[in-house]
Amino acid sequence: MGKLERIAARQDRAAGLGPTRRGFLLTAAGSAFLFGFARSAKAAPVFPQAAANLPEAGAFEPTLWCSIAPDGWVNINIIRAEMGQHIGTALARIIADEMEADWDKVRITYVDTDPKWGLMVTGGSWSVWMTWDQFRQAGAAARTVMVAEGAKLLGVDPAACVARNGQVIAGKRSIAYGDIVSRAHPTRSFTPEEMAKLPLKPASERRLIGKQVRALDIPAKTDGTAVYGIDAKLEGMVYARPKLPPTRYGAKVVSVDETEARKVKGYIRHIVLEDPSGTVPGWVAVLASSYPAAIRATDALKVTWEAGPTAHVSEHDIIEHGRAQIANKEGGSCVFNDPGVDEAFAHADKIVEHTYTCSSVLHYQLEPLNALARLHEGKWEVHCGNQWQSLFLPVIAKALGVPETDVVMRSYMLGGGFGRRLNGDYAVPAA
Amino acid sequence: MITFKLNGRDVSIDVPEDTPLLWALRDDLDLTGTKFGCGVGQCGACTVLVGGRATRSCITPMSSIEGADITTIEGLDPQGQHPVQEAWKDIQVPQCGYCQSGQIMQAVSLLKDYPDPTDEEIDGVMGGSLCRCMTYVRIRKAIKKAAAALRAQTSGKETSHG
Repeated sequence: MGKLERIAARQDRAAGLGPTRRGFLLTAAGSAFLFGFARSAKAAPVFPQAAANLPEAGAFEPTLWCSIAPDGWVNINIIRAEMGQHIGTALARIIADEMEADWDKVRITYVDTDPKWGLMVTGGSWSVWMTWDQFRQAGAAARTVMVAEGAKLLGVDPAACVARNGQVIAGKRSIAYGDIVSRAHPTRSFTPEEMAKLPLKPASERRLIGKQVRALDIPAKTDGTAVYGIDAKLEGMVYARPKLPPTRYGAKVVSVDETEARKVKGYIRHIVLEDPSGTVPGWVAVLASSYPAAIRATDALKVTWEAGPTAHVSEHDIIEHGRAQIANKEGGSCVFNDPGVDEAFAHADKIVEHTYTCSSVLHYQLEPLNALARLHEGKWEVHCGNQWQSLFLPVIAKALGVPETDVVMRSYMLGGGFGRRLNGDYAVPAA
Repeated sequence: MITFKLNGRDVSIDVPEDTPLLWALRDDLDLTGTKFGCGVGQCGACTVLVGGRATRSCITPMSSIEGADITTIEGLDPQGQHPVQEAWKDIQVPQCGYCQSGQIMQAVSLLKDYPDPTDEEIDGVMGGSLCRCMTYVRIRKAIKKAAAALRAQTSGKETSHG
């Protein structure tokens, strides 16, 4: 029963070891959040996407965005967050269609925050249209090389070849993309200027875009193998849950009584967070050796706060503030200025005026907000699902008091985003 | 030490008796396919089968499962090809997917009681499994598809045995 011995050993360690203040990173927000900290450097990582982003040995990578392996598998790098919109499938389809890939041999990698990927944000319905030109060009680059090298291997003129379904075909002869890569070892890469000049397929030649295709992320979401931020794990990690102050900002901890929390088996300690980034003022992290112990100890811990200035702001106040903003002709922002509107109103027979309001609502993504962090080989790794890494990586760095280059965020599936994970407050460190 | 059957195998585990089954599965037994949603039995994301019945693992203490037979999403079929899973893929049910392990386990349980469920029966049983992405329409469709596949399987068996 090696497994059980390991479980027992892990629990012994969990009960006996306390983290040092510099040894972890705070990571959570909201009413049901939990977060994990890496406790010791010797821990073996159990999270699955850590080693992503590297093209396979011998793979051909004409651009940053995709590679073709000798076994014919096409990998497409996705910088957007997968939160139920099948964004990886939508974007991979652009490249795969243009490069004439075999859809059954396409896979996607959700990349980490290496600066080479550029702005990482998923929201506003931007992803497809902002990626469209770039990914079509990337696909065209791969196809161009496959046709050129495939023609050489077949001993024919490239003009006599067509690319289709992961193969270069000349009459009755054909060669698969994987074989082209393993035999010709192409290395050509393209600058953005070169990519922009590549000929693109006409819409009539599209074979994946606009058609029903199977979403690449779905099978893993039916058998329990899809990995979300909350599933990330490190051997020997500890768990923490925040005790949240009465106001989002401006609250100060007056006193903490841990008498009851101490009675919870697995409770380690609490920490009043000090956060130079100002993201989590007045938060108290409750550390324990397991998730359920962290949940119970947080409920048992008694914290007295001095609330911030918004303690008595009601929903009514918020709506009234909105009305005052609307009434103020100098305020607000103009989204789109159509001069014809005023003109039409001026000549209207009848004007109907009505105000529509919408109450404040919670996002209610089903996966509780969470993050796992560790200091590994001099770099702070933050493991979580997030929609706007480019916004929050600098905040995490500020909270830690380290340069941004020392922080990397690794991507996971999001158990719902709905905009809540545009804010990465739950990943902010307060070590 | 609590002993039970998990996905067909005998398991003994030393955790506090009041530990919810969910956390023993996810953190001690490394089966993370079962999800933590609300923690109070209201959303259905943590649903597993205990003795073949859909059960909210987040409010099921370990002390209550001594000797029980438990199936999680990982144990439904060795290849992930249980008729319900196949229907889920055919209909492309999941969006973010976070609730889907629980939805599938609940659906498996439902189909034991209602081999040919009506919309009302599906809604009645599945109503406690929340999906924030609103995949409900496809869930209903996939359950009917899986029901048909399971009935075909059953009648096939009866024929071959008869």
